[in-house]
Amino acid sequence: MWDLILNPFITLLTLLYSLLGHNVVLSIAVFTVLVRLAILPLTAQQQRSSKRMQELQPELKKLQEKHKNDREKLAQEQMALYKEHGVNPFGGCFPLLIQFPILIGLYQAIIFTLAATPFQLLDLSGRFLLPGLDHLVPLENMWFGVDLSQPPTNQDPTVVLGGMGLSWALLLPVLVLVTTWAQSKLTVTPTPSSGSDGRPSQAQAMTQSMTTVMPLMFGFFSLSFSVGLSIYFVISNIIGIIQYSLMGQSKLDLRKLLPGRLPLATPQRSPRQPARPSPGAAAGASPEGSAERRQVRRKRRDETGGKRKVKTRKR
Amino acid sequence: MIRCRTLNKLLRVRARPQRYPFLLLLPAILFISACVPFRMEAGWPALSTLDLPGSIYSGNILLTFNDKITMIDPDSGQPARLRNADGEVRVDAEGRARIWEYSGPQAAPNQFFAKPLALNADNLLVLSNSERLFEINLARADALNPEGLELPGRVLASPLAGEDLVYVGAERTMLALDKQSHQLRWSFDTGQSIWSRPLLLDGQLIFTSLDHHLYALDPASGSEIWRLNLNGAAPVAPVVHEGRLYTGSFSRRIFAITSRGSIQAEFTTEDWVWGAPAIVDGVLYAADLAGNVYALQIGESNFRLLWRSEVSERAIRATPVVAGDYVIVAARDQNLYWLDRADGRVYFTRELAGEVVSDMLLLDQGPDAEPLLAVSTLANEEALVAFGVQNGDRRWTYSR
Repeated sequence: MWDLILNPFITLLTLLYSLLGHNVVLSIAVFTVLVRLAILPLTAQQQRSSKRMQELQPELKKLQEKHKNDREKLAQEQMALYKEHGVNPFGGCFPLLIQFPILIGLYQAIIFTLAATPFQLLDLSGRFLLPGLDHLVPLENMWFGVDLSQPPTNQDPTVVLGGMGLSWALLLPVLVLVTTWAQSKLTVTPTPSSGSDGRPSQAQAMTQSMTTVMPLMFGFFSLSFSVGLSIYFVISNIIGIIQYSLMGQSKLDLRKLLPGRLPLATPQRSPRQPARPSPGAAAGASPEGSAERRQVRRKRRDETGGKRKVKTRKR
Repeated sequence: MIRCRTLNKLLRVRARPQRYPFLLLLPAILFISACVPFRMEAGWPALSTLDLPGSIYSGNILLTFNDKITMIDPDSGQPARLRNADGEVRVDAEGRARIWEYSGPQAAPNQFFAKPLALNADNLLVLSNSERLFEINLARADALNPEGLELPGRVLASPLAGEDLVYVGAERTMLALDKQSHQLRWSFDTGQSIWSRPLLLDGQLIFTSLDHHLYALDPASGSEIWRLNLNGAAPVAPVVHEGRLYTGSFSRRIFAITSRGSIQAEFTTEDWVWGAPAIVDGVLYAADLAGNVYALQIGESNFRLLWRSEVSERAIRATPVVAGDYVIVAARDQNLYWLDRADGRVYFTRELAGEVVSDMLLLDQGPDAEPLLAVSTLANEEALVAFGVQNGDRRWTYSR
């Protein structure tokens, strides 16, 4: 079953290798772009869904405050709100879950084709769906003095610093960490704002920890993954950022990369601070602000007599 | 209605969108953990017998796997006892008999792929996938150089001893080391790694490489005499029969090659060929990674297919063993197959606990006794199993 994903990927990657002058890194880059393009509808759906959820945040926030002592009621009200706006709370998760096997297949294909160990080479047999690719095996895995099939800690030195021989591949875990962090900072959907006590909400804290922990995890694992895989992670992260900005769901805000800037939907505000009534205010403002917007929306609906629709708000 | 606490928690997660990041964490962890099996880089066992006339350990089996080399008594299937010069069993501090086992310096899972080489009556040479050379003292089962001598590349191929030199196929290079000092005498670069044992024929050092070539070098200087493109990666150790070389490659072909490097005959198989062929009475037996076994009559300029048997749905990596009227093959489907030498029909099979990927060992038990077939699997409970070759009865099992 898994071969249905893996074998076409291995075939495609090897085919690209043969077409792109036997350059593994270039093949991985093009391969990643192609796979990302193939799953673009899923990614777009996921981003749309996240965006709609984000737009509901002010009203969700209001519900949380209203029913903070009654979880059952809160759940009911939230579900009613989703229903009313035609939003599936899991709409963002399903496309993501479908993407995972594809992405896992993608990097497994890279590992298989690099075939660092006899077992990996043995497992490569019978996986090519096109004839004539056998003669390309094993792929040339040396790239700028680095063995792509080995981890960065197991490379011959390529540069000498202070009399110590080091491989430039040791930079890769750092690059993986930085690009993963940048991607999550720039593209993570804003989460509900602070609670009434001014402290970050649970979701905020979670998002914050994810944008910190995940890059660290990937960076750490890159120390033991093959260099080829780390290169894939870096390329994939960069493509992810570019894709996010090109899809126009929201503007890529590079200021998010500045220290202390969380990807929040609202500026943190004390409970006493009045909400700004301007329509340009960020989503998830105070209850007053959200009530006002609801009134505007209701008025519009009455005017058009149409169905209630959640529109994409431009930042 | 009874609801368990965990279920309640899950339901609450479902109801509270703030907790969606939790849901994302799960696939994220799966995503990362999916890489892990590939980092385990399992090794595969190498089997050899210690052929050292006069040594108390001669005739024992050496099972090399991951980071350990264990000596097994072929009669009992038990680890051989460590003995002193007088043949007495050595004991540890608690008075228990010590066994002959050597562990590499690092707990690397895939340290040893190559068979150890008996340098002399006292020492074994062991080469590792962690770019090290160790000299192991047979009497003590420990390394004379515990840290190992650094090599210019990882070694998966078994070494070959010449008169003064030891030839080691390594990562992208063939190395010639001094037999005594282990210093590098010469090296010859290839485009890819060398995963098979070299051989000496007509004053030439011959070996295959994953760079698709069969090479012949001058064993003294390392200069190239000839090379032949096999059109596919070649991890197959060539074998010699009546002055000709026989080997296969990932080009899905089996070749008969003269000692001067010209192809005299070739035969197309269904899939890649990895295991070396076995040649008995002018018939070549080989298997491919699609699970087929072939019997080819060797002609002057061609191969004639005697039979082809579709034995397994999984790969056959190991070299077939020919014993009496049988051709015995081991597949990755965890089965051993006894095939009729005459027509390739499967007589009987024996199931094992793990995959078999490494070459088997035929143990001669003397003129009157039935030979044994030693098979190493990847399963710890059947690290090494011995079968009678005639009826496939299981004689003993060694567990790790």
